[in-house]
Amino acid sequence: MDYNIIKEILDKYWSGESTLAEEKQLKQFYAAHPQLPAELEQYRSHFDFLVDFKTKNTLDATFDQKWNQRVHQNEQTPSMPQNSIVRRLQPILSIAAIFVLFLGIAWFVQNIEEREAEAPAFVINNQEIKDPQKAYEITKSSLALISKKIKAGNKHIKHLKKFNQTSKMILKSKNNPL
Amino acid sequence: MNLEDFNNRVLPLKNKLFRFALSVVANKETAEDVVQDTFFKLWKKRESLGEILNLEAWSMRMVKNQCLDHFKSKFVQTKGGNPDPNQAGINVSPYKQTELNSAIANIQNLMAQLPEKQRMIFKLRDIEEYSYKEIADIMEVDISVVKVNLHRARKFIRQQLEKNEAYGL
Repeated sequence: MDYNIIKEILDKYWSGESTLAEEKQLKQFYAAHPQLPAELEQYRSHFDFLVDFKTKNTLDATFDQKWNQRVHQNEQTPSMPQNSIVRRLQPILSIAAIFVLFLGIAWFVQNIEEREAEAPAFVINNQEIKDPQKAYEITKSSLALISKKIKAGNKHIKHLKKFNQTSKMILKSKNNPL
Repeated sequence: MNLEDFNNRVLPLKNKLFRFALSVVANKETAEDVVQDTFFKLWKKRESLGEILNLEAWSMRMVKNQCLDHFKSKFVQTKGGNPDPNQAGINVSPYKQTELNSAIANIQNLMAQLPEKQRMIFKLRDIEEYSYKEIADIMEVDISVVKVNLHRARKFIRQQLEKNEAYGL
């Protein structure tokens, strides 16, 4: 090959005006000619580097394995797949969930009311009395009985008072005979 | 797009993406991680990948942004960074190998001295052989910016090579 043509292409290359085809030609030229005149030889390392960098820096099958492993691991993690039925029904399911929640609350409230209605109003002497009026009457009569008993007790306390005064008088006269 | 389609369309881009990432991060393991993360991002968007006209340019752009994010997060200084010594060398005699390694290592050092944008544009053109239009798409700049940066990068390398030749290095 005429070295002058290569020199021309080289000049175009260094000034950034060469085409991709010409650049490829330069790489092939240097690979095919191990010995060249000094003015061309001085650029050899550059073109060797371009070819060498491309051929030496590749990713092998280990990279592919790592990649496929990563994808499979990601697929196994629980995530909602795109365009699935669940995703499409999501708005309806949300409304349904709220509806179920309200139903639950309503049932709970109603259940409490029923239990309160069923529960015995009063327990007196281990007897369940549902009628509040009857329970009131029983309580009232019980309290009246207690009151009556206390009044009866008060009558006897008067005698005790008299006895107490008399015993005090006796004690006084004994200590002071004059 | 299922995994099989994805592996047929996107996975073959792995080497281009890897080399591009390597040009920026200057570390093979980090570059590989960047490509894995880019693939994963693409996989998450698999439903809309069919609408993208130039998937390759789009993927390269994602790698570029991922690399820049990596630098922002790690505060890694690449200028004058450590090129991987394993990147150099081809199957020739041990003496020639040493000579070649040293010459290629020298070019790698020159690459490392280039500003990030020039280095990226240079590698997209001279290694991956993209057109100016494609590089402009990947780098998200005008074609004129691509040409200027490429010219500056090549000019710098030429000057350094001629300087080395003059000093007999």
